[in-house]
Amino acid sequence: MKRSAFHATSVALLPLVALVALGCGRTEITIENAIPGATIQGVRWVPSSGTSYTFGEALGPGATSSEVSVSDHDQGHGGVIHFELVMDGRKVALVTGDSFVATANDTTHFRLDPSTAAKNPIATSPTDPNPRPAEPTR
Amino acid sequence: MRTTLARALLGALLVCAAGCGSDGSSTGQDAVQTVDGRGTANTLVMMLAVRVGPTNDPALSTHQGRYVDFRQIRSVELIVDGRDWGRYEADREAGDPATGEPVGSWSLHDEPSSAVVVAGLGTELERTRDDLDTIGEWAELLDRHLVTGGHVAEIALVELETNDGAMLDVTSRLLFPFTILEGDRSAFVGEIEVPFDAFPGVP
Repeated sequence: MKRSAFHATSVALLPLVALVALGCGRTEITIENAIPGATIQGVRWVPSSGTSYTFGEALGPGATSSEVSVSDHDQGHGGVIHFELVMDGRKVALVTGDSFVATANDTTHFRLDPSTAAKNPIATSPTDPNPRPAEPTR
Repeated sequence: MRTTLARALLGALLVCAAGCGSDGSSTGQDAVQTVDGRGTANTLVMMLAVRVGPTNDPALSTHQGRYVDFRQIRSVELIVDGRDWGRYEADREAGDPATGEPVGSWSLHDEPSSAVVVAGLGTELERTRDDLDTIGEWAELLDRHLVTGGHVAEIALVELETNDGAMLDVTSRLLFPFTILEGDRSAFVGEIEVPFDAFPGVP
């Protein structure tokens, strides 16, 4: 009887344990396009290691990308976001001036909105080599 | 002869307008591409003359139909397709070098004395050569262009400067249709005459 109860408890807890195991140690990032009337495409997060994390889909206004997993060595590190801003048939390649940090063991939500600092490499002087950190949202 | 000179100057200015950034710098507009690879127009060019109309200014009442010297035209406020595009300085160097006849606070010509106005349709920030720093500023720039087809420019206001250095705003509300052809990067709005009907506030 006791053995049966233990077995039943184990079976009940198994999904919970599996869920915790899956959630732990996994670092992911998403990007939200909060720019009214504009689409962003070719989105890449490039942390200081130089690795490029690509978001395949074009994001319309208000859309959020699917999650992209971040390698262990890029967790907790900041990086700029490269993207193309598209409006009314015209586009410009931009790089954020802010640095976005992927929080370890969590899903970090990067939000691009009209107030986000951004430059075009050919139209201006090179991007600040010491970008200031952006406020990540979860 | 004067017309030939003016057209030669205009041609040179159109070339300059199409290839802006000649000092080696790049503007925000230079960084903008079209999704389909085709160019869109971002510069308007016009020749602007101010003609003396019926006036209550006793010094000018007998000079109707004559033209204010182009060097007295300071700036133009432009509206395109019903939307404010900004205020643009007139080129006070490019024009007929002949000086006009001094009449009161003005220099007048018998023939049109046209100032050239090159209106780059960037944002106010870009025109002042500030770097564009935020996504919102870049979005505003992407939104400022003219697609192929018909458009209407409105000369909302012309700012004149008298020989005494006083400034005078002349409202006109004149409309000028123009067309952007496929592949055009700039458009010539036309040779525009703004009637100058009164001289309020000028002694």
